[in-house]
Amino acid sequence: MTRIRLLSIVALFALWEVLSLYLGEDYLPGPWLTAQVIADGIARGWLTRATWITLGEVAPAFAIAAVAGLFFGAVLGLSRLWGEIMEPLILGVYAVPKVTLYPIFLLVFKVGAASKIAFGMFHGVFPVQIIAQAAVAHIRPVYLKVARSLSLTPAQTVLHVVIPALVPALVVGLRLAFSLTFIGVILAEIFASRGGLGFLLSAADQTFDVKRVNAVIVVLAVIGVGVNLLFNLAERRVAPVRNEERQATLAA
Amino acid sequence: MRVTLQGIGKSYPTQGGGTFVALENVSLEIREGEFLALIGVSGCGKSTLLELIAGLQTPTAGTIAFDGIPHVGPHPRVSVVFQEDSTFPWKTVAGNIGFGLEMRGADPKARARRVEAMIDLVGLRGFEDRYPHQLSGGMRQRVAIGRTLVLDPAILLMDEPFGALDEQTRFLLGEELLRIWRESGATVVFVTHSLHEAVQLADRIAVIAPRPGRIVRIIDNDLSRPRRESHEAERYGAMIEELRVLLGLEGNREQTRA
Repeated sequence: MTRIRLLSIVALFALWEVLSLYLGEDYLPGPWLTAQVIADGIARGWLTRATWITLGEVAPAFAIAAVAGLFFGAVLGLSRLWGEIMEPLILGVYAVPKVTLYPIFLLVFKVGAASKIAFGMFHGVFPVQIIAQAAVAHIRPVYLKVARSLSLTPAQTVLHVVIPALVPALVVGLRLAFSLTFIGVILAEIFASRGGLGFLLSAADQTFDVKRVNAVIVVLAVIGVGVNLLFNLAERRVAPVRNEERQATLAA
Repeated sequence: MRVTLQGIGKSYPTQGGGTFVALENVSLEIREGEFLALIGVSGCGKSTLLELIAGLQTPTAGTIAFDGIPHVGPHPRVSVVFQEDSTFPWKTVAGNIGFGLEMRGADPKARARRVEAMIDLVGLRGFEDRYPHQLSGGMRQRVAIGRTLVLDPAILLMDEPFGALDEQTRFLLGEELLRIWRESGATVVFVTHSLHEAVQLADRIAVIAPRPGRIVRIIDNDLSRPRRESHEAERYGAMIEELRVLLGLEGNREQTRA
């Protein structure tokens, strides 16, 4: 498995090199040139500064999205009434292309970190809420019967039965929330901001600095893949059962 | 522990504004240490009756008393094994079996000792560190049985615990349940719709008729153990036949072997 993954990464770089040779370095800088630009960005600090700004916005945006999404998902999943009242509203807001709402965020939060964090949070919060709500509403009734027949306290039931039963769904939700929050923050940086990787990307794009554009894209990809790997690790720690096996148990 | 059901009724409001009577005027004395089967066709209210005894539902009429003391809600000395797989996929076999003790705040050392003993009793030695998804359906049901028995219940309620298993596994687990029942000394109330399972296992068989659910007859089963169709063929056959008539399955033999 790992060998196949390694091979696919090598193949990706090879394809990149071939394409860049075919199109020319002015249009698509190859891996080597991009690596040099990244090294320059690290040495002179423009790339590391932008990366820290972006990460500093993504982290709180993701944290707020996760906590708020889990909380509202749990409440709406437990209360059928509120679930039914809120569902059309949430789906309605979710269906609007979120980029179109960015001017409102700018008006409320002004240009700067706050508007970017809020916009990123806004991207990530819905999938967490929707997945958490479905998971809470569809927790297997027999688990709750076991809890009741053992006379567990409400706190014990939530802590030792409900939350562990929800972990696989929550990991999926958080994973999705991270990638969407990340997109939201980058979009906000591209549209109106004075720092961060998205800002760097749009600035380089406007001056036709393809080498910088490429360098930023590589950094974005590294962050995305890296966080995904962290999720894989976390998933293995908290949920020893792999997803497909868990689904098989659920179906049985 | 003795359980006395006095005039138990359970009805639900229906959507049309009427009432659905699931159980009506059920009175039953469950004797200390006996193996009682509740048998009936699907939807006759036998699982409802079990959940009432378990305290998972509240009767709309009548009282339930344990050793003569009326009680509402789950009783600490009453444990339930459900038909569906109820093992927790996030806990190992040992973790699942020890769950109730852990929640009741048992001392970790005492807990480990009792879990160890229970693993032997339910025949899961060598599987204690496995997760439920690595086990067969029959083994998962053993885990569920161990999880309830480790609490040393006076009453063990079982709602078609082997219903999802194949006939061979079902028979073997039934024989093991009898061994566990004898070793633990608990009172067992066992819901089933299988005539053979009831005759194989129970001291007494309460036959429940549907709409409204009520006990129509309690049959004393004095066949000598271990019970096989071949040992006392005539009496075994007569008992099956009697149950079949009581359940209204006469002339429809296809359905009787569940």
